[in-house]
Amino acid sequence: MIEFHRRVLSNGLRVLVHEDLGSPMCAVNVLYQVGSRDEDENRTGFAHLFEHLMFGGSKNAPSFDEPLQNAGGDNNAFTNSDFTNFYDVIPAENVETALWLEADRMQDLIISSEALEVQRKVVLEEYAETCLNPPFGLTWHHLSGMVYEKHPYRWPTIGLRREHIADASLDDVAKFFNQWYGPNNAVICLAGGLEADKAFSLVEKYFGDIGQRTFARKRYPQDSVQNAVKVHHSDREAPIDALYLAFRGVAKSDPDFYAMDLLSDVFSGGRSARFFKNLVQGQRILSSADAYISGTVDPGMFVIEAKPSEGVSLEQAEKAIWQEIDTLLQDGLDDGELQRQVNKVESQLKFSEISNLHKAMSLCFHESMGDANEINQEMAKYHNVSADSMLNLGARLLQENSCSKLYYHKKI
Amino acid sequence: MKENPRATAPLISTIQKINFPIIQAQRMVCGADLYAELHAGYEVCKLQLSFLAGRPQEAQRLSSRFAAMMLKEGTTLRSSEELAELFDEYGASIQTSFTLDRVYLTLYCLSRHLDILIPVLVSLINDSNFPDDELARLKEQSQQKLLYDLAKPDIVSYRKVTEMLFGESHPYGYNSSEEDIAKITRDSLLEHYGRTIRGSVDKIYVAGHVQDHHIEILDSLLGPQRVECMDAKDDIEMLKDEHEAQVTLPGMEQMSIRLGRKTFAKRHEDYMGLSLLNTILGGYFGSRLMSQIRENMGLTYGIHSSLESYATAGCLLISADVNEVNHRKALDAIKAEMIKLQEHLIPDEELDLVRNYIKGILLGRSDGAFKRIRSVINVVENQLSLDYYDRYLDYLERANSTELRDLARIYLNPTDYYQVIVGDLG
Repeated sequence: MIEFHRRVLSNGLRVLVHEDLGSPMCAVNVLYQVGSRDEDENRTGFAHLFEHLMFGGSKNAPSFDEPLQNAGGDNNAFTNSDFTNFYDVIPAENVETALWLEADRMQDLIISSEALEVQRKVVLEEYAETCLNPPFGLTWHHLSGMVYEKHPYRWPTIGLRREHIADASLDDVAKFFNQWYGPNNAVICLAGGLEADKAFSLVEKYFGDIGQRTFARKRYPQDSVQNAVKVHHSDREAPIDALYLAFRGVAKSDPDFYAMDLLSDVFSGGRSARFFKNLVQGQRILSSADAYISGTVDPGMFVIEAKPSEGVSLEQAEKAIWQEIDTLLQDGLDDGELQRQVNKVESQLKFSEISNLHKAMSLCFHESMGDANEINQEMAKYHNVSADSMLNLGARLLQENSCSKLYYHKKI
Repeated sequence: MKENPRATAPLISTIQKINFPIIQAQRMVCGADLYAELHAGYEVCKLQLSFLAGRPQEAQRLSSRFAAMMLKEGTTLRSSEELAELFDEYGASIQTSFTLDRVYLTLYCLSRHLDILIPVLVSLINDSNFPDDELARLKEQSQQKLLYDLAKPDIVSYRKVTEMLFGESHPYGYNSSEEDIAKITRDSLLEHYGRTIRGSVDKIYVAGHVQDHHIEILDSLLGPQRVECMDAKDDIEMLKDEHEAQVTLPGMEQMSIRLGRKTFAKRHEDYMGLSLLNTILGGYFGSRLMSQIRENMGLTYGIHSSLESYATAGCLLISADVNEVNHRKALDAIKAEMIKLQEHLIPDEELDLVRNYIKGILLGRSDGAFKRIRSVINVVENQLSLDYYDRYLDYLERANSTELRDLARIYLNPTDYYQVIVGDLG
């Protein structure tokens, strides 16, 4: 049970506090409800580029990092398709510094062409480092593009093309900031060695006068059910063969979300799960195999990825995976199989509750979804998944004609 | 008009006191030393067993790594599958890991399952039987993984620079190869296991909610252990003449740059100073390399320097991934930053900032049983004095820019650095 206090400021900022008075540190997490799904299709990668610009200094704090580091704090941020998340971990007695910095950049970010110029270059290098250099670095580009035709999840957060990042203008930056980076589109959580009353009064002090912004969240176009298999063969030579099978799953708010998560675990949650036990260890057809979900707010991806063993063809590997799917859907779960996976989830959740930063991020995420209390309902939702609901969902999702397939071929 | 509440920066208090763990070994009946950071409020725990079973102890290349990986592949009582199922059933995680010097076996689980899981954990140490078919699979998987890794420029440049630094036949310098993996046999692993793991638990670290009777069960099940004294001699292999290397990987957008020089183990008298200097050069987000080469010049996304320490040696490594057209410019800029630290004193303001930043990091490492046990392991395994963290805090207060400039003159000479560039050189 994670206890927390909640208030909403008059400008709409949702504030959460988790007290852990034994801790000398405090985590400050600020989540803005804007991600790559809010981008224009001709300006992709912008939410992430903007995340970089948030470190360029603000009116009263020309450097974001220096005062924070001077106060003994550390910070970072990440962007995904649904939101942009900034976090600071700082000695609790200096938490005010983090709040001052976060508030000042929410109200008075410095937007300059020099900063844009540099960060464009940095992000283009990031694109090269994470997407172009690694052998399978463009996987997310390929899969998103096949699984979605209309929904903005069809481009990855880093951006569809490098030109989109290179073309970003100062005007775009200012517009984006003025729309999305207001208190009424943000959630803040403080977790650590700070009393709730003190935390609320400090947040009120630094954020209370920041005005609301006006934004219109577009309706994200939803894709209809895919009814023909899609196939892409990467033309980049790979060091080893690899295969990805992707399906469009359900949304985070869907009652079946937890069944979908556990379904991926039944395939690859640990060494006792089916892929490892049967295909890696048993038949030795694959050298590695994984199944996972993207966990997005709108219907996300269910991905199976596999690397065949030496001497095994991609066709053989894929056939073995479909065979595993069929066996599960036809014969059902073994005794104790679902319970094992639920136990693993329970253990993982308990371990994650040790970290105040993790709790702060998770509280913000649940609040942004509508209710921070949901953080304490998660385990029950996993417990409530029945074998039948999981198998029904599996039968609906994991069909060959709704599958998007990506192959990498080894250089010969 | 109301005053802007953000117009002035809040006052910063300097961290005065850090509640570092008190590092105290308890000699167990079995002979191993136990270190504990207990927290009865947790529902979870971690048990980590440490073995002096690393590369310096190998009779054959890669036997340390493979012996570690094989520990959970079967015991005289249970097959690999049965073991996996048992740990998964309790939602537990059993991890085998290895550094250059050591092998670790670590159990993470809900504390309420310890009674059941401790005997299984112990059986991996006392009764592993290294089944042939699991070994064959693991070797195949490792060959595939190697092929994949060798296509990644950052891995190739790391392999090359450490090989140049320590020598290709040195335990810290050799790289895994297809041939070495192929040569691994069950017998070679049993030999390594029998000599360095079975009956050779060196240290035990526990954190979280663990009760006395759990420790007693662990102690009695392990049985007597050979406790060997660590006798680390600092490595003095001569450097080679060849100082630059290039490796071609076709089709790469970026070059992976690595610069490196040998340093020393953490016990060395210059370690604290060089660690501080490394932080300033490239060890945190506000570092010189980050500020200049990323935030001012926009030449790279990732650039770092790191001070790696092993039992008997160490190295300072600088790494960056840079577009092909800019890589010379980036190399020059990195070297310019090294020279700047040799020629100019670090301004007081910057030194104060780094002091405060490091203190915050240290405070964070004292927060909670799991972080505290990592701090304990750092001291114990690097053979540092038990008051190391207090001494480090003292050192931070005393450190001055003249001394750091002198250290830069010894350790940041660009000409002393090996240089590796990996990318599409075609």
